[in-house]
Order: sequence, then structure tokens, then C-alpha cells
Amino acid sequence: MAVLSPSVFTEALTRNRERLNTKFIYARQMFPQLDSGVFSGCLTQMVQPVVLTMEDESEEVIDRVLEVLYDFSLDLIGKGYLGPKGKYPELLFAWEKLFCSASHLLRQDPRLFAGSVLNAVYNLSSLQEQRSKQWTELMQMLSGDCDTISLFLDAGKVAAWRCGLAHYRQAALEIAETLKPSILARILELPPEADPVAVLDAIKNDPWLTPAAALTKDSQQSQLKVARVLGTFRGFGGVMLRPPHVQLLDNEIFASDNENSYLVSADVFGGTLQRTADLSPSKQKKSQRAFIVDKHGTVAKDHYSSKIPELADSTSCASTESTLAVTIPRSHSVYIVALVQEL
Amino acid sequence: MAGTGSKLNSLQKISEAPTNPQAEKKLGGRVFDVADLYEGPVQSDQQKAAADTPLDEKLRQAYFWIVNHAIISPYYDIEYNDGPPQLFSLGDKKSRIAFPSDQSYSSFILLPLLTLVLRRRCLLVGGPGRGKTASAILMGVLAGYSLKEIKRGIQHGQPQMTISDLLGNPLPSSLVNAASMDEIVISWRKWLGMRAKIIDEYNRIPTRTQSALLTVMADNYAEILDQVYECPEAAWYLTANDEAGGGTYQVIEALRDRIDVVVHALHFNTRFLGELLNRVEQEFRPEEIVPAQIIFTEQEIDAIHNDILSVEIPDGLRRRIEFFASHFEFCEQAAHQLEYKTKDTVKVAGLDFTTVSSQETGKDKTIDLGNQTLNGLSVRAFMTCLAYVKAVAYFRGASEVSFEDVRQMIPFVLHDKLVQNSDASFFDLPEHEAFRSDKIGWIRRLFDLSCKEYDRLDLDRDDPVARLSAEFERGLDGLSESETRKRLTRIEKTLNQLSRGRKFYAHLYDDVLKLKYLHQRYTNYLKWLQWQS
Repeated sequence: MAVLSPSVFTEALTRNRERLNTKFIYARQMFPQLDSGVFSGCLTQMVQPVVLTMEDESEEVIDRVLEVLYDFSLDLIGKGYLGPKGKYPELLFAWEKLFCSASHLLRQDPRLFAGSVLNAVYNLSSLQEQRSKQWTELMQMLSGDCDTISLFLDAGKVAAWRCGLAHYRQAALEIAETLKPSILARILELPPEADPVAVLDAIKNDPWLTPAAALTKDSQQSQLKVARVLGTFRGFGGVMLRPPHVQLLDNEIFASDNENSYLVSADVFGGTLQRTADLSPSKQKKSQRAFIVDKHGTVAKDHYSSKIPELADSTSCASTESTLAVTIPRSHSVYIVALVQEL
Repeated sequence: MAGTGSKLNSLQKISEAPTNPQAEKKLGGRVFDVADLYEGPVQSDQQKAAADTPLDEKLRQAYFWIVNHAIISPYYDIEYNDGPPQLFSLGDKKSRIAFPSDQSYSSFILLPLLTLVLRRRCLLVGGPGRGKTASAILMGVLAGYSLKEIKRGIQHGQPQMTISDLLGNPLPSSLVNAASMDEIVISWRKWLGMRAKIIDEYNRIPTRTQSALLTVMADNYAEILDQVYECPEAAWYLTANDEAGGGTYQVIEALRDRIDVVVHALHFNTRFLGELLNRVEQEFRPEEIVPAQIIFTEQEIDAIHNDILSVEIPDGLRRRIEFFASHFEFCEQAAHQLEYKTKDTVKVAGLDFTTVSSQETGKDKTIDLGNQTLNGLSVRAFMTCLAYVKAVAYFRGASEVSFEDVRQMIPFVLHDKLVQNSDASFFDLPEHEAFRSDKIGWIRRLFDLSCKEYDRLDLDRDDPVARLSAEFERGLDGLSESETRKRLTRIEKTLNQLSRGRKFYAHLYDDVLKLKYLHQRYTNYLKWLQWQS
């Protein structure tokens, strides 16, 4: 029978055996449910493939990568985030997609790269629309263009906004200006001949302009419509305890259910409610500037008007120049209305 | 909708902050930092995480990690109370057991940790196999060294240890080629440059080599053939089986005197054998997996050191420490001249203090605490006391030292500094017999008795010497001749009042010397005023 030569993975495990064993024992004190069989399986499934991509690396680098991935595996499996019944399968998806394909970044600083990716996926997976897989696939595409972790993480921030984390819009737009055009084009899903900088300039001024629409020079039909519905009853997995009210403060829209307050962020890529410090309730329930909503649910802005029956008898409204937030008595959600271009 | 992930601990779980409840930072503001995208349940940037933790909290986390996971030391001999403790007595000798009502600590873990951040010298004593060296090694890991570096840097005391073994050797080639001593190149031992130094079984080092060690410990440099190596400030951990300084070689007094704090390795509590068995079976080595979050950089230790120095000692408490320390130096029979009436005078004269002080003085033994010791306290001992009481207050998250901080720390600092007079009648009482061996308890009892006397004299409210001192501290500028004379009269009256007591107790000695000092300063000033006019 042919004897298989040990792989870099088994050699690294052998070199660090005592230390890794001690870590496992220690972790099991923290997480009594941590099963050695399950963990071994995860090591083989998750860590081994990554380490095998580093055959050309020095032992020092391999050991560093192994230790970090081993630590993260213990931690995430122990907490029940990963593993056969893991609460966040998106983490495994990102692990398998990114750690091998971006091993050139992983080996630069394993803890920073792997930790950042896993945390980003964790944060994205908490979105209702499950955008984390979209982000992972996008970053997998971009990783080849990124030669440093710093560039990858910057691209990741812009990609996170692109995948629906609307509250990062402002920061992401600033970072986007510093990205390589090729990376920016991929994030915005632009055709090769497009000028990503020009598209970025266009969408900076209109949160509801899609990159595709920004490319066409023809005038488009626009319509006032419900672009997003954010939040739901807490009992159904949302955040609102009661039907909320909205108000405008410092040109930002906030929603409150009288227990907690949330920053309302929305644009063409997504919408989020971010818990924030308590705000003093505004006396004016219906603060609005650019939009008008009547009791029948008719919304008007400039020369545009739309009848949106579900917004009848609204309890509160607040708007910026581009976005209207409306709440109604029968719902725990915040309705986002905007002038959306139709291609 | 979860936005930013909670900052949870990584693999090696650190005690949840705050370990000593403090006011927590409120989440506030409407600014969302896009960098929060990369914050979550795994520690992606350990440096940032470490920077977010206040240093005193980090120190507490280090303590609790060691106590919970590294060293089995289920003792709380440094007791704090928030309200009355539960007290029990056991056995026919009525052994006292207290269940403290506030967070309390194990001296075996706390004191080496405080030594690390104070960069002082800690002697760990106890029988073999009690974890002295293991504790010291952990401190080295916390100081940022790898296990390999620490183990290779440990100096193992043994009877054949030479100065070269300890410090280094001249390079043979440079010895041959050097035209002068300046040109000799020394290959210094690596441990000299470490910021956590471990000397194992220091009482097995030959006397001559102890002298070389003393130079490094005391003056922070090593010297061979006129070449000098300046060592960095470091925390020292020395181990010994015998606290009295015996062993293969007697420890030279100067070296023993450089020890700042003595910690006893306590016995192993057999009720925890199960945990020990787990470690044996699983080959669990906690020193290999010290969490990065509780490892201190050199800059952090510097910062902690500075923070500790800025912890305040309230004036009233400082006065109690002064009063306590005043008991021990005075020896009325030692000389005629006031300034020489000290135990040090007797010692320098080569006489036996117990012989000199053997005559019955009629002093109340509960007040004459100095009778229980053969020596007084040095300046170095004072400074060390002050450093450690500040350090423990800092550790507990306080901005000023409390009474209990002093009461708990002083015994460990003075453990080797105050030499017991075993002939003192205090120890003949059955209830005090245990103090012959329990030095920590003895010194704490001394402090308690001192405070009792302090309260009896009502010195918090009525301290004429303190009033006169404060008056003097305001300065002599513009003081007239008549006012100066008035002050001189007040000083003389005060001394007259003190002399009304039948006995010259030790706590009066420094007061009398202070009065003499003040009197002399005013007298000189008066003469100058007269010369001027």
C-alpha cells in the first residue's frame, strides 16, 4: 500500500499539537457542548482546504493561519454559529468561498482578514433580505483585484452598502471615490465600457437612482411609489413593539415605537433601521418638506403625484429632499416612498 | 435589526467587563461608523480591542483569568467587606472564619500581578511543588514574552553558579585582541534585558554571585571587566523554599532587603483534586494559551505605572500610616541624644536589642508596639508600602486609597521588613501565640492596634504637631519677629504638654523630633531677621 506523504495541514497540526489540544480543552470548559468529533469534522471541512492552498508558504505563515482559523472555528462552533446545526450557515458559505480564493490576503494577516470577513457576514446576515451571500459572492469576485487587505476591506464597505446596508451610504460613497475604477465598476455591476466615476457622481445626488439608470442618457419615467417597507412587529421577528412614528431631525429620519428609536436609512440598494439613543419626541407629528401626503394616501412631490391607498390615514410623516417615510395605524412598519425611475 | 455586532470574547474567554462594576459607557449618538461592519463575534483586530479596554479593567481581567483558569488558588486571604462580614468560629481554639462581603482576592495571584505593573521585586516562598515558579512564568507571559523566552531566561540558583553564569562572558577573541579594557566585548546573558526576570531558588546562589545579583537588582546594571550593561526596568520574581533567608547559602541581608513583597504559596486544597486530575489527564497547560487580550505591552505597563502613581492617599489615611510607622524605630535606652534613640543605634553598636531593652519600662504593651519588633522601617520600606497600597486601589478601580487597602497590603510589604522580637511579652499570651509564625496576621494586628491608639488619642481632630507643621508649610515669607516668637512659644508649649505623659512612647518620638525641627527652623529665621534689622 502506498504511504501518503503528510500534507502541510497534518504537518502543521503535528507541530502545534500540544498547543492546539490545550486550546480545545480550554474551549470545552467554556462550551461544554463542544463535541470533539464534530469539531474534527469541521477542521477537515473548513480549515484543511484553506491550509492546503498554502503549500508554498513557510511554516511560520502556515502556523499563524492555522492557529487563527483553529481559534475562530472553536469559538464559532462552540457558540453554535457554525457546525451541523449552526445558526449562521452564511458564515460557512463565506468561509468556503473566500478563505481559499483570497488566500493571498489571508496569509498577510489571518486574524484581520478572516475576522473581518466573518464579522461582516454576521452583520449582513442579520438583514431581513439575507444579503450576506450576495456580499460574499461579490467579494469573491473582487478579491483577485485586491492586493492588500486594506483595499479589500474598503471595497467590502462599499459592497456592504451596495448589498443593502443603507446606513453606510455616506461613508461608502466617500470610500468609493478612492477605489480603483475596475473594482467600483464591479460593485455597481456596470458594463465594461461604462465610466464608474461618472455613475458614482450621478447616484451621489439621487439615492433612488440605479447605476443602470444613471448610464442611460434618455429621460426616464419616474413614479412616486413605496420603495421599501422597513421593520415589523417584534413578535414576528422585527423590532417595533408598537406602530411607530417618524420624525425628521438634522435632515435624518427617525422612527420610534415609544420604547426605542431608530435611524431610518433607505436608498435604491436597501433599507435599514438602526437603533439609536433616545430622542426627545417631536411635537410636530407630520414633519415634511418636499412631499405632501393627504388622508387618502395621495402622495405628491413637485409635479408628481401617486395614490397609494395603504398610506391612507397616516399617523406620521417625515421626509428629506428625496425620501418620504410614512407610518399608518394598522402597521408596525415604516413605509418609504420615493421617486423611482422606471427603465 | 442588529446593526453593530456585540463585542464578545474570543476563544480564551476573559471575564466579562466590568469585573468591578463601574459606570458603563452609554451607547449614544447617531453616527454609524462603516468600520463597524467588521466588528462582531470574532476578534478581528486584537490591538483595537485591547485599546478599547481601560488598563485597570485589563489588569482585573488578567487576575480573574489566572484565578479561574490558570492557577488553582481558591483562597481569598485579601479580604474586603462592604458591610459586616459573616463571622464564624471553629474548634476549641475558636479559629476565626470570615466570609467577606465584598470582592476579595488571593494574595498568591494578586501580589505578583501588582509587582508586574509596579516593576518591583516579589519573593514567592513555600514548599516545593506549590506553584511558585509556575506563577512567575505566568507573569512573564503576561509581560509579553513567549514561553520559550521565559523558560530560557529563568536563572536557576545552584551552588556552582558563578558570576559568569549569571551575567555573561567576555568574548575570547576580544579578550585576546583588546588593547584596553574598553575594547573587551562581553556576551551578556539575554535575561538581563528582560522586563520580567525570574530567579528560581535564589537562596541556593553562592554568596559571591549573590553580590553580583544584588547590583542588578538594586542598581539595574550589570558589570563585568569594566563593561556595563544597563538593564531595563523590570519586575522581579524570586522563589525560595525558606523565607528566613536560609538555604544552601545564607542570603545576604542587602539582597533580602531589596525584596519588596513576600508572597506565600499556599497549600493545595484537596477539594479541588478533581480539577487537577482533569489537567493531568488532558495535559492542560494554561501558560500556553494565555489570551492575547490580557498580555501587556511595555507601553501599557508604563501607563499603568503612571496611573498608579496618581492614585491619591487621603491626608487622614496618610496620617494613620505615619502613626503606625512611628512605633518601631524608637528605643529610649539606646542613647542620651534624642536623635540617636533608635534601634538602629543599638544595631550599629553591635549590641543585642533585647538585652538593651530588657529592663521593664512600665509601658503599656498595647501601646508600645515597638517592643514587638527588633527594627524600624527604612525609607525604602515606606516607599514600597505607598506604591503597593496605591496599586491595589488602582486594581480595584478606585481613584484614592482606602483604609482597607492599607490594612491588606502593608503586611505583605513589611513581611520581611519588620523583624519580630520573639521575646516580647505580647507573644506569650495564648491568643497571640500564632503570630509567631503568622507574620501577615501579626502585622495586620499591629496596624489595628496602632489605629486603635490613634483613635483613642483623637488625632484626627486634635493633632497639635500637625497644626504646627501645616502652619510652617505656609512659608516664612513676611513673617514678623513677633509672630516668629509666638510660634516658637507655641512649639515649646506643645512639647511641654507632650512631656506631661509619664511615658515616652514611640509614637511621640517623631513628633518630638518634628517639634525640634520646627523650633530650629524658626530660631534660624529669627536670627536672620535680627541680623537683617
